[in-house]
Amino acid sequence: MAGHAHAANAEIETIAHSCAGCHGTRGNGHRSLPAIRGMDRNQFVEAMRGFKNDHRTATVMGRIARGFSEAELLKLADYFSESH
Amino acid sequence: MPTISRRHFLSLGLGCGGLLLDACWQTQGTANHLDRAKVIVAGGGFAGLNAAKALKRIAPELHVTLVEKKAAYLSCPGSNQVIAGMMPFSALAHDVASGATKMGVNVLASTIIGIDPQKKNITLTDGTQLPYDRLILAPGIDFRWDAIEGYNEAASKHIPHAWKAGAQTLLLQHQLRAMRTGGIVAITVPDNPYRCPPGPYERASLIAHFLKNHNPRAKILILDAKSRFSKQAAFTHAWQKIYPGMVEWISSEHEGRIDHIDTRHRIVHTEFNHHKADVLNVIPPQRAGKLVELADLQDPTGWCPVTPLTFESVKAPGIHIIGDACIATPMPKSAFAAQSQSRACASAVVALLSGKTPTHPILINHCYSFVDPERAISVTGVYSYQPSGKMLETLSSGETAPDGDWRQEGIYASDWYGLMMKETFD
Ligand SMILES: Cc1cc2nc3c(=O)[nH]c(=O)nc-3n(C[C@H](O)[C@H](O)[C@H](O)COP(=O)(O)OP(=O)(O)OC[C@H]3O[C@@H](n4cnc5c(N)ncnc54)[C@H](O)[C@@H]3O)c2cc1C
Ligand code: HEC
Repeated sequence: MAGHAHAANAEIETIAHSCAGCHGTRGNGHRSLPAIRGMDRNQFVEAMRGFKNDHRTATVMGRIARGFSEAELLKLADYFSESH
Repeated sequence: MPTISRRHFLSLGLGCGGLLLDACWQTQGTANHLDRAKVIVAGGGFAGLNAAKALKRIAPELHVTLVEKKAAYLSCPGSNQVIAGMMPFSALAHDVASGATKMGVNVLASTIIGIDPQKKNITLTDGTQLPYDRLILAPGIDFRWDAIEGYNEAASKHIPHAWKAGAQTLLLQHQLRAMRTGGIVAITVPDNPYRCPPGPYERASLIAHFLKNHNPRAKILILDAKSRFSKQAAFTHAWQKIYPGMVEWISSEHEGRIDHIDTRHRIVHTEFNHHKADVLNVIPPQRAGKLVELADLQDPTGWCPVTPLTFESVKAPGIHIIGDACIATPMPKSAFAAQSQSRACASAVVALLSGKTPTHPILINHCYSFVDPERAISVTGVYSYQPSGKMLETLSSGETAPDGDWRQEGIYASDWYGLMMKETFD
């Protein structure tokens, strides 16, 4: 997947790496930690916005989502919804 | 181009991402020559192993060698549970070689005894020299044995630190079990920075859990060199609610720092007081693993300054330092942070070897601490690189509130632990 990614992709990949600590290297999740790879794009964006403004119940995602801009959030949505 | 001149070219260490490299590579007809580049990773812990694996994932053609002195890695995460009898000691041991080897990393069981930043090679115990284009050091910590009067490596054989997992973990576990009824456990905690800032307080909580069941009149005393600590509100709440009267935290503001320790009688002398313990756990001040001294990569604090875009040493080009050993303030020293840094560093190393400009990473730290076998609290930070200050900036942070969902976090915490071990060692 990441092998011969070109520049634009490399940029979002270094950002998406930060999610791997809990969602796994490929976003596959692990037991109770949810998979985010292959998520529907709109659902992903809705979830992240919900975490950001505390409208969605979360233990940690609020703290994390608030670290990302709307533009980054949309790029992450592309990345995870398209990643195979 | 023969390998040797290629390496020479890279070893000039100039023009990373510059026109010269790009032009040279274009004449070669391909985007890069990663199949001729050599990266050596030193240290097979959470930082080193994850870096080696990330390098192979990003650039499978790259030659990646990992050198680790121990065949079995003993994980510190989980060791507080072992001390409190919640987990068997054997669960801390992980094979260093198998997972990385499967990904094509060349794993060597050896100790690095020499680094030559000019010639760009390392020396192993048997005298073998290995050349590198980029070197990633992840040696973890060593203790500053001269920092506390009376406490040194010899004393640690009967007064455990248990801050590196192994025989020390078992020694502390054994002493707690053998302690007299109603005895006092004292834990001394150093000033920042040190490995795992919330670790001492998790340890106090889990020891309290053990004592509540086996020695309920016993007490735990935390003698801190600081005046506040990580997740303080939630930890304090946990001690009051779950272990009332058992855990006492003594800030340096009240008693001053440790003056000296009488290890023979297990007495900790602070500036204004002294405390006699039945079980004494001294967590000594720390510094980067000694390995970094081979190339003089540490600063006067004992830790290694790096540019947190690439984690390249500010003192020696071509050498990167990740994990506990580097200064990545305000990121704390944790396995989670080490893994996050390993991925950012691997991306940057591949970019540099390809003549590209490394992109700005986002790094995350997140530390779970158990307060009993089921409940956990956490602290999180999201960080980005700031070119102006050449530092990391905190984009967002937070910690579990006293009324947070500690049980749900306990479930996530065990699954995070399982995921971390799987990603690092499988
Ligand atoms: C009690 C306790 C609980 C903790 N709990 C957590 C937790 O819940 N979550 C969390 O995120 N973090 C936790 N941590 C912190 C975590 O253990 C460290 O931050 C992490 O291990 C750092 O990883 P590292 O790769 O930098 O160093 P290490 O894990 O120490 O790995 C360094 C490796 O380098 C090797 N090495 C050193 N020198 C050489 C040499 N010259 N040649 C070859 N090999 C060499 C060593 O043998 C070692 O295997 C805890 C720590 C403690 C003490
Ligand atoms: C510290 C661990 C951690 C990190 C790091 C992390 N997540 Fe999460 N994520 C969780 C947990 C736990 C949940 C469940 C909600 C909660 O309790 O916070 C979750 C839920 C989610 C969900 C909702 C999934 C669903 O199906 O409901 C999305 C989307 C998500 N995370 C995206 C991300 C992205 C994107 C990143 C990186 C920028 C990231 N996460 C980093 C732990 C993490």
